[in-house]
Amino acid sequence: MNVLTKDQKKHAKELISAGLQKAAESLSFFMNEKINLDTSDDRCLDCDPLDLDRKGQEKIHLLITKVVGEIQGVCCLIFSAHEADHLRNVALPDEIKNSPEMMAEMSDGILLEVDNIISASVITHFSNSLKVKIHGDVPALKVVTYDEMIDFVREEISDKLFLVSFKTSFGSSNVQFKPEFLWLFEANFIDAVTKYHEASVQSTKE
Amino acid sequence: MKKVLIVDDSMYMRTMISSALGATGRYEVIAQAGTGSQGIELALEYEPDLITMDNILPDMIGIDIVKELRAEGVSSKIIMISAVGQDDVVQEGMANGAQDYLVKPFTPDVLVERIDKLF
Repeated sequence: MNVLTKDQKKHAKELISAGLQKAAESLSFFMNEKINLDTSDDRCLDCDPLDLDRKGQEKIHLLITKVVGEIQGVCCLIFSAHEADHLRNVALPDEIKNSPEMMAEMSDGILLEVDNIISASVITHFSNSLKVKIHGDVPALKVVTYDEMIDFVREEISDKLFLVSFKTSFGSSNVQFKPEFLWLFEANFIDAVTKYHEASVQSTKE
Repeated sequence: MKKVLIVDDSMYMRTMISSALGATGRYEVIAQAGTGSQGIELALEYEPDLITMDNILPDMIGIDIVKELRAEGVSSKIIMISAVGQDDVVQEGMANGAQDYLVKPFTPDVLVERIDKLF
């Protein structure tokens, strides 16, 4: 993000913050309680994408959505096994939880749907604000170790030359529920933010 | 009883939509599809009163399916149900033959209310 001026960076942070807030609202819908963003991390725009929570020794549930269209990127929603179970328990109705057959089919399905909806809420905000045509592809779920997750992110960074990364974690009344949300964008995100900034400056002058 | 076809790649969403509509006693889900090509096939076969259409499917974009169904002469009411909520996408869906566009997430009550308004 060094290529952005101080003002552009301020606009980018506001845009990202508002987008992530939409994600928190969508996650609240599934969790039946208010989900907050971790606002203590003011480095969200300059984050190290490889500095991710280890989640103890648990397997990681890594949900991946590619951003396709006029801006390319990828987002990763990261749950521990415990967090994934908590979400299933809260979000799924009893008729599904009480049926082993339905639970077998829905266990991953609910995680994929939550990822689909909360990533889309961010993408929709970016698309409407930046006036670019983008959408999230069909999400994928990988159950991996921490090291495997880091390898995946490292590979994404080296393959696609992602220049912009930001992340947050969600918080709820359950102190053990703190999924992380990592976003990586290619350089054209910066171009779109620059245009957005210029349009904002122009409208202020008018 | 209105006949309904659900087109959505998410089994979770298909179950939620089916459960919400079935509970009203006014709608009967007669078929479900997880891909766009399946959806087109089932729409042509059953000619349902209502189709709920996701926008991002593994093989097709929902708006393209709506266009294709209209070109084939399918007159079913179509409500697009998607997490994709961009203003231009919603307008494009409506301009190409959908009667409504509902952005996820939503409660079962909102879904039923919006669908009831189509009839």
